[in-house]
Amino acid sequence: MTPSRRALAALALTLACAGCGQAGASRADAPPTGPASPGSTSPGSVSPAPASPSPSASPLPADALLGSQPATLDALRAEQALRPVWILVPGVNTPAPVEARTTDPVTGGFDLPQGAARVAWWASGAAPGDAGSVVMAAHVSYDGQTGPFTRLASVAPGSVVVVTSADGSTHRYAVRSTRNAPKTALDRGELFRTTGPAALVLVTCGGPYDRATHSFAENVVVTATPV
Amino acid sequence: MSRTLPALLCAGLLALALPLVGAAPASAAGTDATLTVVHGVRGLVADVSLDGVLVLSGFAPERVTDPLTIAAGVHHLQAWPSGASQTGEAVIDQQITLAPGQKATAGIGIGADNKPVVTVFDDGSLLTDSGSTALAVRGLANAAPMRVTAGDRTVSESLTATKQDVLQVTPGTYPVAIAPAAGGAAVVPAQDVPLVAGRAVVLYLIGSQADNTLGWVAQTIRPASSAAPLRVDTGVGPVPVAGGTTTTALVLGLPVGLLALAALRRRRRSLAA
Repeated sequence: MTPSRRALAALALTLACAGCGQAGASRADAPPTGPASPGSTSPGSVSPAPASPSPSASPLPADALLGSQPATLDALRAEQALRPVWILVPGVNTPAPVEARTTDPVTGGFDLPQGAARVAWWASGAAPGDAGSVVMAAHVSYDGQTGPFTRLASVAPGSVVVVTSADGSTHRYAVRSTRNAPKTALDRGELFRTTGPAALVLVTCGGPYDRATHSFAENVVVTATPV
Repeated sequence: MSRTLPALLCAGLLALALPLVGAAPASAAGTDATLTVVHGVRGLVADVSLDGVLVLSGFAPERVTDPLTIAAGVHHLQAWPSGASQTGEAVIDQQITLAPGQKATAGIGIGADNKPVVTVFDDGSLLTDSGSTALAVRGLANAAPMRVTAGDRTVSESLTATKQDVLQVTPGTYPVAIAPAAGGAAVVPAQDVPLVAGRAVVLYLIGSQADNTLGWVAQTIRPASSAAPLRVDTGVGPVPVAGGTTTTALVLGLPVGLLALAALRRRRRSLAA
């Protein structure tokens, strides 16, 4: 192999590794021991307890009592029916349809629908009524079209945002803050929080628009809390 | 071109690419694992301990716990009928092993001897494709092999105790039915199961075929917070100035329209002549 071919091979390997790293970034909870691929799998490791068990892990705290929820099909249907389907931000939009979307497995970005008319809900996170942040985003503009979040930056503090779930229930959130943040410096842990106090987080683009990259430099982030 | 230039170019690109490797968020591996417990034994309300510490009191059937973060490794899981002395004989007395970073569910079901038994299932593999939704079926029942379908698709050709099968589907509501893998009528009527994007739904087959008590318990699994988007790109093209589009259309479109109209009239006159 010539030196240049070796270098190209090394580059390909490195890029492949980089791709793996990026892909792994969104699935860091996969066990390192090589989980079974989709399809039939065997169970995890279970064995009858020995006469004198000797756990290798550190002992649990004494207050480790766990909560539990119903696991019936009815409970599942009720849970899934809480997915948001409409959102109204007063002074910003008329009721806008909401669509369940996820993290793009290739780019790692929020996979938004095409067009500015629909709002994306990060379906892997919290739904209304859950702990953590219900995160919704929409394009500020899309090929010259405006949408429900085009004027999001102008939402007044205290405005009450109404989210309607698929089961018809409504959830009201009061706007607490509006801020701009560089896209490259988003606090993902806080923005997509899946535990802690309930909140609604609305995101669109803002700040300077770069015509060369066809991209805005910042995100507009509106945070609201249940009322 | 000399051999040096491509090599230098590649080296430069390598230098650019290497930070990408380092930029990947840290794995959730560490030394912890996450354990959830699903209860699939009807008639057993249990007190459950892990490593000698009571973690569930009065744990009723057909319930699922909050996830528990614990050190990876070997753990001792025991259960007694609720209120019974924990010095007495346990109805469950097993060791379970969790790998570092593993997200797992311990399912309490019944074995071929109709006694409670725990099976640990790995949950991490259910969320490998965030663009679709996983429907998983897991066996916790004392039953012959079962064929499970979701609409016109097969989830499992032969679901047995301790086994798991997974089907990637598009979000929607699917009628899930169970029939003996060897053939025959459905043993549980088809039931609608809703699936939302980005979340996995796990159905545990529980009960006893001999007692005609087969049924499902359900669990939703969401990705770890590390699966949150890296970016939110919410602008394609600049925001149009209010009225700008209309003004532009008038400025450019009106003369073009008038010219076209004039040309059409000239053509009609020439045809009439």
